[in-house]
Amino acid sequence: MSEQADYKKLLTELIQKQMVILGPNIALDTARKVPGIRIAGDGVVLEIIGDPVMVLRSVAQEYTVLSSYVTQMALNVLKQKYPSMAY
Amino acid sequence: MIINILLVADFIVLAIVMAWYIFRTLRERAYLRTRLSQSMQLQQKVYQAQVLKEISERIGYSLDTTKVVEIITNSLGNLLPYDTVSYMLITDNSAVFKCHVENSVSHEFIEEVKDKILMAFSGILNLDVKPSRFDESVTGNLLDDNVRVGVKSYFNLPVFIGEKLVGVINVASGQFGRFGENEASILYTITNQAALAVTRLQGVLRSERGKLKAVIDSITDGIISVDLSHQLLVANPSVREILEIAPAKSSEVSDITMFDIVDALAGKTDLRTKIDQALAEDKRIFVPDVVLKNRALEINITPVKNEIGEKVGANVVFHDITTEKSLEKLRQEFTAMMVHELRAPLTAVRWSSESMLKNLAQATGSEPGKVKDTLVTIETASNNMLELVNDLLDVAKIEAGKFELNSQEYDLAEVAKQQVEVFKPQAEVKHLALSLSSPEKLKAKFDRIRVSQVLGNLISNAIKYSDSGEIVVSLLVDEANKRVVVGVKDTGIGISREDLPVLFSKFKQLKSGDRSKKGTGLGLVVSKGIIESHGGQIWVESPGENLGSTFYFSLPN
Repeated sequence: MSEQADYKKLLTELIQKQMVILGPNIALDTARKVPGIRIAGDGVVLEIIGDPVMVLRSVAQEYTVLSSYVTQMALNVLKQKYPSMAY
Repeated sequence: MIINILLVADFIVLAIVMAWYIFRTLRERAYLRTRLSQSMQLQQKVYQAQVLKEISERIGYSLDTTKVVEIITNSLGNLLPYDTVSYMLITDNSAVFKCHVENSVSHEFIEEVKDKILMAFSGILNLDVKPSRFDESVTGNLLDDNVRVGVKSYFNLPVFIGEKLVGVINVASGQFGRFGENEASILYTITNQAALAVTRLQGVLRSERGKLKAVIDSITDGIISVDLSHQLLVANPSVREILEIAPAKSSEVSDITMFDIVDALAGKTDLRTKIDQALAEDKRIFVPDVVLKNRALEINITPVKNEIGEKVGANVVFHDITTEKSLEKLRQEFTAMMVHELRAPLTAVRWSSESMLKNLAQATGSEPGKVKDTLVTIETASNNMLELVNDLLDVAKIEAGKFELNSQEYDLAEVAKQQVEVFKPQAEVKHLALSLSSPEKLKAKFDRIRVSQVLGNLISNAIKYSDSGEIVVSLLVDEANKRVVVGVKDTGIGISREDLPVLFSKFKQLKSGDRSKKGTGLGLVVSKGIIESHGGQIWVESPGENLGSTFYFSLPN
């Protein structure tokens, strides 16, 4: 799988988890504030434009504004699941 | 042709004017839009601050997480349209779920909200959260199962106090497309700030509680604090020691229970009744002289009130008075002993005086030898009494710090020799050898009368407590410590290990009976005072009972 595909999968997991924890609309709206990402209504990341690591960091940053603990916990789970990827 | 040119020119001018007008209008609109946006942002911030202030005021200094979440929930519900606003708190395996219904929804809707919250809990904690017990309440509009609308929009507000998830607030609606970023993000900010304020408050209280605990733990009195239902809230480590409660399996003092405390006092005092009495009468209760197995206690019970004067519990202080009680007993024994010591010679004086008066009244003329014997008895008894009174006066002076010395340079060897000569007849009566081991001369600065008194006391004791063997008085110079050391060694009854530390104490209780039976023991107390007044030391060594002993004292050289 390409780097883009890996990050799309990782970002999809992050967004879908936030949709469950925070609620679908707020989670989607928050992620969509970040330029360089296109997301479907079910949280699936359709496209990443530009550096995927930067996009991931920006999305995480937006979620941190809403709830830093929730974001940190979600990222920790993803880091354990995908340890080789840059965050 | 000219007309055409003029028309074109007019058209161009008109176009320029129109373009200028449109440009200006668009610019003004953009400016107004920006101002409107800024104004809305400002309004939003003011509103956010107002809501936060309201929440802060309502929370006050509460550390009750249920109350905190409830206040946040009630405040957030007024900020946007919704059908239900709910919260769930989970502790251990049980959950508290409260829901306010603004617009009628079905039971199914409520169940769906619960599921959404539980899924949020599971997502945050990364484990399947399924409480076995639900404490559930639904308020507001009546539920109507005919309203066949499910949850179409919702958002959750996780509430963290410190780093711990304490609850999740849910706002739900039966309409699609509600609660996007614009509507809901302000609520996250408000919730986070309210939770942060509580977290800080908890931090301050934790720090203050830590300081208070350190102070209470360092107190030697046992201290406990209980609530109105006698539940133990605080117990310092001294409680276990004072109440002689067996050590806990772990080192935590919190293992002590109210049952342990009540059990330790069983048959002595009913602590729970006393606490109730203090609370009912709203005054401090004092329980004196509670005697446990090895200790005597005083117990003070004080009602505790909150900031509005309501009684919330009681503090109990256990003060160990074992030492005071022991000292009191020793003082009584000392007085009894002194009275006994004075009564014996006084009886002898009275008896002798009566005998002489009787002989004089009969005018028969007593035999001179008999009169002499009687007078000797009176003199001996008087001397004993005087010696005892002098010892008491010396002890009083030493204790008051008013003991005065007349120190000059003397030959200690000569003083020791004189004392040995004085006591030789007494030693010979008991068939004891009394010898001196000393350099020819040993100059030191001391009060001759007082040091002679000390030497005399030590030699006298050695003779008193020895039935056979020898007594050796030795003098030596301790160059390293710049002092002279005098030793009086005997082969007498010796001193047990446990008696050694109390030998120079006024209120001593010697375990080996023989030594305490003979005399008041004040001589050693006075000797200690004299030697220490010289800047010297006095001590005793003994291998044990019936193995003899050696008393030493040193004087600066």
